[in-house]
Amino acid sequence: MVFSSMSFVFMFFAVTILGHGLLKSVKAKNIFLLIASLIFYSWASLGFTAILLFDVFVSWFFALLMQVYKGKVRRRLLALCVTLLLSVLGVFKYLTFLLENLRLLTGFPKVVPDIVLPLGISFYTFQLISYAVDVYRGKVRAQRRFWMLLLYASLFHQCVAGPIVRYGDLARELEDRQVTQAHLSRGISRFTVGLAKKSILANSCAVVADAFFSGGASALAARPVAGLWLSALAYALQIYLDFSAYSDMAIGMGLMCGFHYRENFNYPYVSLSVTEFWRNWHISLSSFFRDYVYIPLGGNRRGRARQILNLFVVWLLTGLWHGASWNYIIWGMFFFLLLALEKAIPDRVLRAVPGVFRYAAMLLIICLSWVIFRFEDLHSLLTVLAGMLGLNGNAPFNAVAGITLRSNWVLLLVSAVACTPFWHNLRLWLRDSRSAALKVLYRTYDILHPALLLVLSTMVLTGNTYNPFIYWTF
Amino acid sequence: MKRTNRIKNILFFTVLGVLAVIGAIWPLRPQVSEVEKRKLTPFPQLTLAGVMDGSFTGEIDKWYADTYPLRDVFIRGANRLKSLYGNRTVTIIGNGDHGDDIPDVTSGPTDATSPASAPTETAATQPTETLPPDTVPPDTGGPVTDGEVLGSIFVSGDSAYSLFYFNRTGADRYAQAINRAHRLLGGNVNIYSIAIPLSSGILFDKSLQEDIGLSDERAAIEYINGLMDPGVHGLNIYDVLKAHDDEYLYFRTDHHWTALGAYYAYTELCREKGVAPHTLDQFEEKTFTGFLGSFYSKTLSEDMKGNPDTVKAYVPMGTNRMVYADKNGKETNWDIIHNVDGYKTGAKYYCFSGSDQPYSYAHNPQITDGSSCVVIKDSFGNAFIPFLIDHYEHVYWIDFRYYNGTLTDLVREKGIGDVIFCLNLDNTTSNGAVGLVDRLIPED
Repeated sequence: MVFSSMSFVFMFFAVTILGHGLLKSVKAKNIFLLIASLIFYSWASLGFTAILLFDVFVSWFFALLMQVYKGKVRRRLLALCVTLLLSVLGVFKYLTFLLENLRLLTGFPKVVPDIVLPLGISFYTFQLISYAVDVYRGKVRAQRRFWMLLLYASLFHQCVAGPIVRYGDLARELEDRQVTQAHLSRGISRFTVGLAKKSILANSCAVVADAFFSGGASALAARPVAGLWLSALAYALQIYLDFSAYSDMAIGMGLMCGFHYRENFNYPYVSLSVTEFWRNWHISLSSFFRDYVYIPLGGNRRGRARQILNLFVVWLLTGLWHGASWNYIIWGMFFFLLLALEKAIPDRVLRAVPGVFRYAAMLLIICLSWVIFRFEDLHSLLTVLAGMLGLNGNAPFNAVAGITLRSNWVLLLVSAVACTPFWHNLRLWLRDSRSAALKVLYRTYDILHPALLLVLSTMVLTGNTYNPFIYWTF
Repeated sequence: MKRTNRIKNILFFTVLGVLAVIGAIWPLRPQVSEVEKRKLTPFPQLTLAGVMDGSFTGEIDKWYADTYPLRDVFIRGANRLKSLYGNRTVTIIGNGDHGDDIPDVTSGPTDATSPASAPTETAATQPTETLPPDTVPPDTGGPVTDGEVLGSIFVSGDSAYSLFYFNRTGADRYAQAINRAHRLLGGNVNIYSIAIPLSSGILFDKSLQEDIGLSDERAAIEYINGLMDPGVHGLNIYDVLKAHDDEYLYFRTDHHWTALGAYYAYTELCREKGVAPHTLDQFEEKTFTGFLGSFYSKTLSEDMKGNPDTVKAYVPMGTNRMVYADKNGKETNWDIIHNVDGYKTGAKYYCFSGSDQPYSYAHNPQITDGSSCVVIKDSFGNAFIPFLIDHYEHVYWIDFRYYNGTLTDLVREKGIGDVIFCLNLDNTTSNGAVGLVDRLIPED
């Protein structure tokens, strides 16, 4: 059940928010949320829940032991705990990929098992690792109650698509929290903005992205240059609007239940450097790698060469985290090279370049990076990259590209604006305006927009089920 | 601020609550969609395996969205919203934008002995390779029950057009099936093949066709005909339709051709047979207005709704009576040109030949020479069949998707003299459809 589905919004979300609101004590609310989260998680597959329970048990058990033991034993316990968690992730996420490549190289094994990736395993594994490491470091106390740790890891707001919430950020609110009208109001806005971003904008951008990016390599080889760039742009918009919408909805639902999750995106597409982009894109993941990999490896404190090596490790892992396929590794390396290059260029040189050029370069980098991200099949990827450079011998422009652009230009423009802080700033400007008329306008907007966005999103989600047949099918 | 928050929260939760309650009222949920011509997703059966692998709950999600009580209202709303995305007067719906190259007619099929071929992708990249058996696409064992979705279409204001992308393996397989029928039925049976062009091939000028990357329909028909045995009559009706491309040959809101388009094809068949065609003014003309066909269903275009099609039909002179047997074999007397005045706006094309019944038959008492023909047809063929009635004593027609018997048995049993394949170009080249043609003509 994805957040942007009718059944989630009108069955699951509606019931849980009502139940959470009606229950009085925090304990009752927690038990209710845990049951709801387990149902939500089991909705995808009951089998996956066993893996989640196992991982939570491992981190709960080892964290309690780490609380007791000191020194070497404590370190070994942490090592064992992290190894176990990563092994589960490794088996379910990377084993097929590893064996596939081994088979290509050596011919062994003959049959590669097709292991299904459990929902959200990359997210909750990292949450549980951060919990174990933070207990080890003494930053948080181990949770005695298993079910409370299970609630932290399985909380349906963030379990399957982030943000990767740190236990320390949530521990206090798990024990005690309040939901005020202001919380509800902010939460409702975030949730509905996220829902609309996903169901109206991201899903429609996906149609434009698919217009020239779908099909196998031979079909891709016939696409016009402009069409490929149009799809690349639409895909970049789609991926941000989609992913950040999930975080918006998670943060919004959190607020409605009294949880304050940290922001996961901060308008990454208006960045002027790759470093800045990654400070603002999927913040909970990049900060995880910073705090649990880069800094423990020595960060930038052990000389330039070591820093570059650390960066390499972080970006190899970042690439792999996104998927078990070579294109994600290439994608990670693409960013590694760009970040290393940026670190090599002195700041004053970068600053001397006019903003408009830096911005244009960033747009290009962002679009290219998502093209690499999109195509797991390397043959297709190379075909598209060659096509974008005009090397496939196709016309630069054709009628289909023209029609696609003409019939979607408003959508793409609105989507592009939605990637910038424009709307946010306009809202603040209206809110803080001294003009009585503008204040009324703001209030009206503030009151109406969640209900309106909910109805519009519902319309579009229902519209997506429209699937006419030429003949009666019965 | 507090008051604003409270009003905002109450409003949101009220709307959420109302929509959730509407969603929970089971009896309000529709089970079929008239405009989409399909059954909506049913509530799934509870099975242990389904619960374990998530398919049960996945189906519930589908069911919930697909049968939401207000869906018709919301779908129209979504359509309005999407019309704001840009200038949508001209759009392309669907993404089949890559046809196979059409080889020179003389080069012959890729593998004349293979009864079936691989999917398009393989064929496009490896045209000369003999295909391993495991790449053969699965055939449909029985009649099609999943309906048929439109391929890619080009929409321009109140008109839409079907787009054609050639698939060589399907074309090869179709020609092989025709040749097989020819071989099995022997020299006494005349075999005709009429591959009906799709509207874009006739109505678009060459440069637009090339710009969109469409396959050349004329060349595709030539290619198919070129693969047929010398004794088979492969007709190319492209030129005769093209010569009349300023006339009402295809509907604007529906993917079918009109009776006028079918009439020109009929004149071409008469030329091939060496008989004189009847002229249109010899027939009684029936007119059914307010037709909003499949293109309208697909797009829900307001422009189309404001300017619906008109269906003209020509009543055969010899008889207007026919019998059809439905999927259960039940026979019903019907009119060849049936009055559809009271029918829904989307159903006006059903006036022709009893629509898509598996098996139909008409006896023309005005002709007593024992002549007979069978038409192997899709829905395009429906508009064509009425013109044949006045040339044969017995006219049979079978829908290749639903007929359960074999063509050879039927021809032998009824002693049929002419076998006429009358399918649109998509159905003579797409693997799925051609698989069903294959099924009709098994080796003895």
